[in-house]
Amino acid sequence: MASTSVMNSTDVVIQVSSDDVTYEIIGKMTSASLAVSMATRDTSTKDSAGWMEVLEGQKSWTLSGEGLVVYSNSGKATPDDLFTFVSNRSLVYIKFGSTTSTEIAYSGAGYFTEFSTDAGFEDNATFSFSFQGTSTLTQAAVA
Amino acid sequence: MIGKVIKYKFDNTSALNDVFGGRVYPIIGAQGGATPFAVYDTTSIRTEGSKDADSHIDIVNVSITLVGTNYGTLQTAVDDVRSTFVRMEETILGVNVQTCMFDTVSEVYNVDETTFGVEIDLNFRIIKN
Repeated sequence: MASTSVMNSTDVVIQVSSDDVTYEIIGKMTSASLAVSMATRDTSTKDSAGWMEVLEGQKSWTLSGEGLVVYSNSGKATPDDLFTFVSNRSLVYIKFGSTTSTEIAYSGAGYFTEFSTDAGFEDNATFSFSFQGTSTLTQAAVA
Repeated sequence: MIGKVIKYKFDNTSALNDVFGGRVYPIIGAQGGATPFAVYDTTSIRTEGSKDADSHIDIVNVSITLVGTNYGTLQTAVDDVRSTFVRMEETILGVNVQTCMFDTVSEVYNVDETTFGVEIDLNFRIIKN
């Protein structure tokens, strides 16, 4: 059973895998976001009395995140891994959520569609990315 | 922790040690004591953390106040402090300094003590893990 207290956002991580077997947490992340949406079909007619009417449409989901740049981080996915995913146009398996058992997490596959890194001076070098899911996003308790 | 770095650099940088001779104190200096002397204190710390740790880098804001009776000596010392600390990259007594930035300088004159005071604000980036 998932915790009854408000979840600590620090516990929510993004894991990536090339084979859906071995997953690595993306290291040094400072934020992680998941967005699920459903498009609608406009079914408004002359009979709608001026109100827009819709029916269900396609569902889609995206992930995004930000972090601090560290290229040598044992056991974690690093910014250069994310670049490689984009560069190779690799299908990537992904998990979003806590790694604590019984908590709810989301999993699916898709493509990294954007990777960027920012570096000013005398400041933290940071990275950010966007991920477009393909097909089903599954919601389930962490095993 | 940053106090160790400041004390060490003042005592081991000839340009500073020649002027201050080890008279480098945390928080407060003795009234009526020998001059010039320097007082340092940490004014704030901001952590740069992630989901992996509470802090990878501490941003430590430090104020160093130089006190003396000769204005020109203090002006030279300000330049020496800047050249000693700004953009330093060194581990001192277990404190891993990634870099240091200069922020600002302000000056005061104490009529009663007939001393000048020059406050230098620096920002240190300390590597935590």
